[in-house]
Amino acid sequence: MPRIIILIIALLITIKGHSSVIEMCQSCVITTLEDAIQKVNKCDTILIDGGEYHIENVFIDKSLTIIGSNQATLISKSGDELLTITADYVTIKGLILKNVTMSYIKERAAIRAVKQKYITIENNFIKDCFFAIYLENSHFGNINNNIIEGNATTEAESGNGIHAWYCKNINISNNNIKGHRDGIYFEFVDKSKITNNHSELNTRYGLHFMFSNDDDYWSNTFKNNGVGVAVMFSSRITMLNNQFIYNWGRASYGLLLKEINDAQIIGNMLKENTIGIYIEGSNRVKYSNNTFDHNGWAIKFSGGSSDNDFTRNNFINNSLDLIVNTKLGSNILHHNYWSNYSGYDLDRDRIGDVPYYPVKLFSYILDQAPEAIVLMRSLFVDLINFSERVSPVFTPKEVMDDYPIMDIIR
Amino acid sequence: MNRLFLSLFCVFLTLILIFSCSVEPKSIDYNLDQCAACKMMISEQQFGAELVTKKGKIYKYDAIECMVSSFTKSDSPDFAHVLVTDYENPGNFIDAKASTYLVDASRPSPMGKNVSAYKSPELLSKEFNSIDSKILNWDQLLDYLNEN
Repeated sequence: MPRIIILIIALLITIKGHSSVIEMCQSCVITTLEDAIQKVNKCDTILIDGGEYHIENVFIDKSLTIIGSNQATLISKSGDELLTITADYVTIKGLILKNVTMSYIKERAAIRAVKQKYITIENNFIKDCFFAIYLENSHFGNINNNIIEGNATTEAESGNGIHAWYCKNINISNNNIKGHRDGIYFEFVDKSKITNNHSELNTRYGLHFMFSNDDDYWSNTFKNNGVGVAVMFSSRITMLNNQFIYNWGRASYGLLLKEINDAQIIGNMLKENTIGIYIEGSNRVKYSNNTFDHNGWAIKFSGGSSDNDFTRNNFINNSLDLIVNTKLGSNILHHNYWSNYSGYDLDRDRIGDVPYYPVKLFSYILDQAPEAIVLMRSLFVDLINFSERVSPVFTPKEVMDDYPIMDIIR
Repeated sequence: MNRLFLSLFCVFLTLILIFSCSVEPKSIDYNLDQCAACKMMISEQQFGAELVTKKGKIYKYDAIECMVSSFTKSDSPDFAHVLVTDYENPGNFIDAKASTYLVDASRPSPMGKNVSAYKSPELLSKEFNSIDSKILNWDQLLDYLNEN
């Protein structure tokens, strides 16, 4: 009797564990994706070997793996969506996806997942699509190694590269995103990770958080976007070792923080941005080991922020280091390196003996009248800055670094 | 001759002064302008909004909810123009007080309140008749955004 039970169990396992591979190509038995999906069982694999397929919004309603090889390309016939995932455990790999066009009625995406778990989207090339990858109420997804290239211009409406809405535990890594509205967009997305991505030439933001909590982003590069990264109305976001480069324009920032709490901003490089970090209404944020290099303003600090901690950051060759609209209050500023510091270190402990005042009179004037920028680098500005340094009247006295470090912090 | 020139010049100057202070709305430069309330770059052309004060100062917004929050916060709501974008006609302003508003999750707006505006609301009630979607006028919208 036990033998029979074991035999039955073994039989069940082999039946359940068996999954087959169905090949699809232009000279195969199966030549369309709809046909392939209909014929396969759960957990099977569809292998698309080369060719271009013109399709019209295909629904993937079974847990299966679709692998493309030899430049297998899916092209949207009418410009509508390409693949809509309506099952858990779907994997899409190695495909080229094209021609999802702009629409004002529907946020069309090349790949959309609706209310599903464990979706994997890997090694795809998504070109000239309105939205590229759109996750809706989908959890535990993996989006890796995709190349996403849009054709967004500042004049026309465009969609986001990777768009996540009401998701949890998403992992986005090693993607290369270009030419969309936002490279990566998170709205109501919690406990997710964004690592090693490259986001460039997006018209609005390289990465955008709205109402998202407990997310991490590490080692990403944000280059030449409208704004590098915007973190808004979010809590407990960790930002580690990212690069914010060349975000340049009249409303441009490397990093825009608005109403965020309890964040960590550590080891980031902000280079050649109009404003390195713009801070408004943010509390209990820790900034350390960041480098601000060649920015217009390194930090613009607006009202309503308290208990922020700026220690051990490098401020190198910025036109203006800091603008503080209000009093520093409970915010802390010490042990930073300032390349504009002209004090001395007589006791040789590598900490300057006189405090550094990062808010210059000219930055104070600029904040009141931005047009005064035409006077930048003139003798007049040097004179008023010097006279203010000698006897401070306008600039807030308590905004100072008591322990300015003499060497660049590595 | 000289006198005539001078008087013409004066008229010209007066005209310039009159017309340069016009209280007219200005269209939004999408992806370049910044929202006056939330500092976001304005980029979604179906949701832009604008306030023009009686003195001619222009405030641009990325979403209706941002504009309404400024509108209700201001002490003296004496605006010459209160404008929203017609969802069905992107990039074009319509009068906010005469528009109809839809709150529906299928049309998400930039600041998460899902508000969109319409000039002609005839088709709305047919298309959005579920319990979750709301169709409001301007005053109802102010109340709704105040509560939420």
